[in-house]
Amino acid sequence: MILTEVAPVWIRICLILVLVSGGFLLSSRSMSNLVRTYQFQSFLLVLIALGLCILEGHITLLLVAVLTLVSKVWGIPACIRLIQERIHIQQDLKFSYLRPPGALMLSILIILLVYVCFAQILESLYAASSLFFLGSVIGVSLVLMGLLAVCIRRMAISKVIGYLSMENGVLAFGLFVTELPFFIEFVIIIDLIILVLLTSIMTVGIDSSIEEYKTRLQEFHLLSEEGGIS
Amino acid sequence: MIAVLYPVVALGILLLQLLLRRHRSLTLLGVIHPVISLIITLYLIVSPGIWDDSPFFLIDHISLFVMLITSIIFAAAALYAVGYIDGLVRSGDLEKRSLRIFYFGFSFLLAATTMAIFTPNIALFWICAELTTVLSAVLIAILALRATIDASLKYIFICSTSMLFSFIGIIFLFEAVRNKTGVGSLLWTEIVDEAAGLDSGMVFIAFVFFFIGFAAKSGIVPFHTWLPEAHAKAPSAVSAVLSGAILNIGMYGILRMTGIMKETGVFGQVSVLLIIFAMITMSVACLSMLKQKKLKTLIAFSSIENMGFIMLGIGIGSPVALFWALFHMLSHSCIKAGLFFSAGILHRQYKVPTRTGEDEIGDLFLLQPFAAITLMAGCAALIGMPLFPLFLSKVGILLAATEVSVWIPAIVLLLFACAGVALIRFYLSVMAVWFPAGEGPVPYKAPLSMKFPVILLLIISIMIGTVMIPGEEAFLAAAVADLGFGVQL
Amino acid sequence: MIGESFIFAFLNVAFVLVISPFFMMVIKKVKARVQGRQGPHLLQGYYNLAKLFRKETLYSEYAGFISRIAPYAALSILLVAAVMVPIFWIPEQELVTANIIVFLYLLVTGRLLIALLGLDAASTFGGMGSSREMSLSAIIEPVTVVVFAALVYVTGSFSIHDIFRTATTMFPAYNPTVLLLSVPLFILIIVETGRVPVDNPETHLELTMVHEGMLLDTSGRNLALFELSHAVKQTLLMAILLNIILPAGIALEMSAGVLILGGVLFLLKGTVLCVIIGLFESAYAKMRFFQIPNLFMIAFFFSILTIFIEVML
Repeated sequence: MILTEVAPVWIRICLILVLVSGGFLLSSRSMSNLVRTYQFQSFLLVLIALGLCILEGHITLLLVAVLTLVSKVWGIPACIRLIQERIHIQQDLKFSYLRPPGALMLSILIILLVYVCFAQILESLYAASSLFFLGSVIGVSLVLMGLLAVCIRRMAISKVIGYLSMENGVLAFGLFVTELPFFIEFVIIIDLIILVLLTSIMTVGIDSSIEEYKTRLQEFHLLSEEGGIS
Repeated sequence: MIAVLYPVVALGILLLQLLLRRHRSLTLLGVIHPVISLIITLYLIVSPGIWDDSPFFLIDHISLFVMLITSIIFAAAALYAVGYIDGLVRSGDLEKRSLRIFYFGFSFLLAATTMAIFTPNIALFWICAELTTVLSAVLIAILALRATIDASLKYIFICSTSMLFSFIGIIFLFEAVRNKTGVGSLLWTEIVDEAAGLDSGMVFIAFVFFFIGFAAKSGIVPFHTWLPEAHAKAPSAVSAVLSGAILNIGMYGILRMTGIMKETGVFGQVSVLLIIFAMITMSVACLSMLKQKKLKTLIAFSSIENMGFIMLGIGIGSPVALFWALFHMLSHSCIKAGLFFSAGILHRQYKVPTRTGEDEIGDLFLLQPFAAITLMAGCAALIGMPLFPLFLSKVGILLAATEVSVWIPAIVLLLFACAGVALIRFYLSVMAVWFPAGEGPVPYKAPLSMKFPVILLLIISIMIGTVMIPGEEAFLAAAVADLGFGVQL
Repeated sequence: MIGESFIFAFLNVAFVLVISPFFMMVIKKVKARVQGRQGPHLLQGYYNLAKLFRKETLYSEYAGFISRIAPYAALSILLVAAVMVPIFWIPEQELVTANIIVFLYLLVTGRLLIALLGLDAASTFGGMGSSREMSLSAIIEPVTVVVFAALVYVTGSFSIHDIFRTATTMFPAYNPTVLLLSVPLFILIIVETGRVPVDNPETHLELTMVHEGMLLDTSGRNLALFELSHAVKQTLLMAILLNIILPAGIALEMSAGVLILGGVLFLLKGTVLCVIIGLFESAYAKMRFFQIPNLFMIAFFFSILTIFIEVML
């Protein structure tokens, strides 16, 4: 079947694009771009799951793909957009500890490090040229890049999206390394839903805080110190 | 099938809490739930014959032991919350509509912790641990102040991101088992059985990843940064539950995992890893305690130090060390919860907003003699006074540590001395503050429901510390054996 | 054999010289249409060059020998580079060593000459343009090297001729690395030819000029030569991208029909790529100068990833 020959190629392309989207998550400055990047990443995972399903023939992978499609490509971004409407903040310009170019450099080093570690420790089990080895390296690298995103971003919503991409990384890892029972996927989804709901409730309190605007207005002498508009 | 009562009761109570309205009924339900859990746990402990009847529950000595600790702490905290939450509502710190969220979250947290302890499946254990993180974060943020929400979000992020690493570790373990047997397994018992022939590289990576998540949950350095803030900003009842019950979940996970590692060939490396992290944790915690000025942060760092010490016991790996590590878990939970309760009483007394933003404690013995004495007893217990049980466990683990290296007890004793100095210095500094006449705050009458749990926990601690309850030694030894560390004492 | 190579060199260079202005005009036309204007006539590029050749060449009083030599030198260097990159016909034997790294550094030399030219006229805008150009060039160089290295690794040879030949055999069973490399190569085109979002080629505001700033003091024939060399550079880079991704129709032997077919097909492919470049330019605003390293970092990240995947497999 032509699909079984094309599948490894398309899986490899999708894996690289997944890492690139991880890079975008680290450096993107606009909130809507961030959410769109996350959607794109989840969609790539759906494609990867489909490709693996064609390669191996497990039906559970198909179910995983559908579930990911529904929840991560449609559901969670919809939730986050709802939150964004309440927050009215369009940009996330501030970074702590590391700016995007440095963060991207660090992610390249991370990917190298993960590859070297896994190659040494797992050589008995997987030939280093296997698709599964590649998938596991990329899965763990994506988790670490998501962690980097959680660390260097300031706004809580961006941190949540970093966490979501970490979960994507775990999913990618799980897809490649083994055939997990289906309910694992379910478990992850529940976890995500709870987490997103909770942090969204809390971040509305934090991110839309009026204090930032007050200091900005004060800087431009539009707001006098006592709080009235001058 | 008795164990099925746990989720059934929990479900019933949760439903009732959703339906009922009055504060009194909510508090009553909140107290009934952990008390019933405690009764069920005690019943299961004394009747080992029926343990195999429950297929969905992993009932053995260790899980019952941890459940016992959890239910005692939750019961005490629920009782304490009766007066504490009432006080918060009356002073306007807590809104009425958050009350239902609080009690619902509290009971749900107990249910989630129960499920985590008793589930035989690692993945379900993981998700229940995540649930406890989320629920305790809700409870921490219940006062809805900016600072508490910050602390709560930090907690969620650090613990959840670390738990994802744990999940990767679980997947590695699953794959390792699948490589050996052809069909992977997620059950604790099955993995222990298969552990002997697993590929050592993969299983070591699995342990390292798994360790990251549960170490974060227990407050091991360098994943501990959420702990001082979360404990300091949360209401005292919640802090007590966090310190006394939720930190133990992390240790429980590490315990079971170490039990699995014991069967494989990498136990030596695992042991070294655990000991190193334990030493780093204790150093950071004790040295940080020296410069703390707030009571709850001080107690929180002491929690980190004790968790590090428990992990030292686990890392040493001999049956004696594990016995005393389990004992330390129990005693630390009781004493810490008692301390947090006393700190709560003090907070209710002194929480007039001050310039520095922290409670200024003064006229201690005049205004709150009860809390002052219990605080002193709690500090003495933490330092390791002989009447209290921490003395026994510290001696036990340190003696076991000499077999690994004589430097470990030496350094640890030095660190304990630092911690002791920090506690004593804090206590002396607050004892000696006198408000000028007429400027002190109004004396706060702590209701009996707040005092009773403190006394209860103190009595339990002294009892454990001086007398070995019949069957306790055998029970703990059997727990150690359950984990696979075999040789009887 | 040698004769064939000479014929190849002559045809290649002539083809490049003839179609480069056309491609530039296609891009301008697309951008104009997107903006709602009519845009220049497609042959306007030739008329412009003819006009400039007729005009007088003026030199600033501070200008030295660089201002006199650089236009000719730049174009000659690019024509040598043009011999290295087969556009529509891959001969059996290379006339000059078509090493891809040599190609890269020929381009860099051309850029160095222009930068020196910008400084030579002793005007501030020239100096500003030169310094910006050189800093951008320094930052994009790792990306270029990594992209070319990935190409070399995949196809197994340093020679551009061999790379293209391997690409014709690989089509249409794609190597994923090659497909993914199209993105950094595209970004490379944008950067090397100074297009939006890196630099606006139609700007007349001195403070936003990078490439144009260096050419401010050129006039007449010199300006014509520079415009032509700019266009040639663009065509060569486009040829690298097109002949790797879509090598259909490249002539492998010397027969008139196949050659003409190759030429026409390249014209079509080039036009499509120019339309894409024009649309891409229209979709973005020019980036702030200090944000440009971010863009390069993403391109670098992308190209390193493609090398990793290639090596890790």
